[in-house]
Amino acid sequence: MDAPKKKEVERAEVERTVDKPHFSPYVEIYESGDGLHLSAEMPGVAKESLEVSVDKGILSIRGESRLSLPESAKPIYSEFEEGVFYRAFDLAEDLDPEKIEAKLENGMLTLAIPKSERARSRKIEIR
Amino acid sequence: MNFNLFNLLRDLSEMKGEMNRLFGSFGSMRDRSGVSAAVNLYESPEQYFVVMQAPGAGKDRFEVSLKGQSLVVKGEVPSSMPEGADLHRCERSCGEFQRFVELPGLVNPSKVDASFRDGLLTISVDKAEEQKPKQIKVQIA
Repeated sequence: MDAPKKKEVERAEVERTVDKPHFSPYVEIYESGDGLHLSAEMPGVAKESLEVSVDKGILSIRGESRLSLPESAKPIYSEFEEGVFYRAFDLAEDLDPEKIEAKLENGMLTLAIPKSERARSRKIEIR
Repeated sequence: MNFNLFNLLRDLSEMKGEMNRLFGSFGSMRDRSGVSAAVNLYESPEQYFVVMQAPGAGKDRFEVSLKGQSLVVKGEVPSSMPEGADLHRCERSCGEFQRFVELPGLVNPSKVDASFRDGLLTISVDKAEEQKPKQIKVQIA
């Protein structure tokens, strides 16, 4: 009789971690002379619910989207869901995770990831 | 026979839902830019709310108009990439877009509000008086 009980708890734990749907945000990544630029679409995500972190060379972005509607508003048609935008990226070794600059504007997260000093290409003048 | 009629109506309604998913919403047209500008529609006793995902859109470039029960939203998502940059990956779509949303009931055209926050455009439209629920007091003698 003990076995089914245990199973139920496990299932509850699993469900708690996925109580909200997760979406992978669309991104645009380009490189310019000074480093890498990453823009991610995160509509409905406010600054307070956004997390950007780097751990062991993995850059992860996470933000929860919220609509600001009165409680009496009930959905009658929907093409998108509220939930969590999450995505992780493997940072190349020549990038400097210490100097990432992040900006969130109009539902777009923009990250500027500079190249590390050593990796930055330098033009050497030939005399 | 009534039972069959009911089934047919349900099938038709399911098919309409399928069509909406395939061709955008409300039998509407999307423009060719590829900006998806996904739309949700909500209803309260007094209002309809249209919420559109438009991350990165220019706030000043929205144009919202209402004709009868049809709401038209025009906007533009500018590209953030400078010319000549070395593109690694692009999943975003940029450009001008236009979406039509057919509201399900009569509305009051003088009560339309729009706000743009965190990449979500929220448009609220008041229902026409005759669409709002009314409480009728019944005098009991």
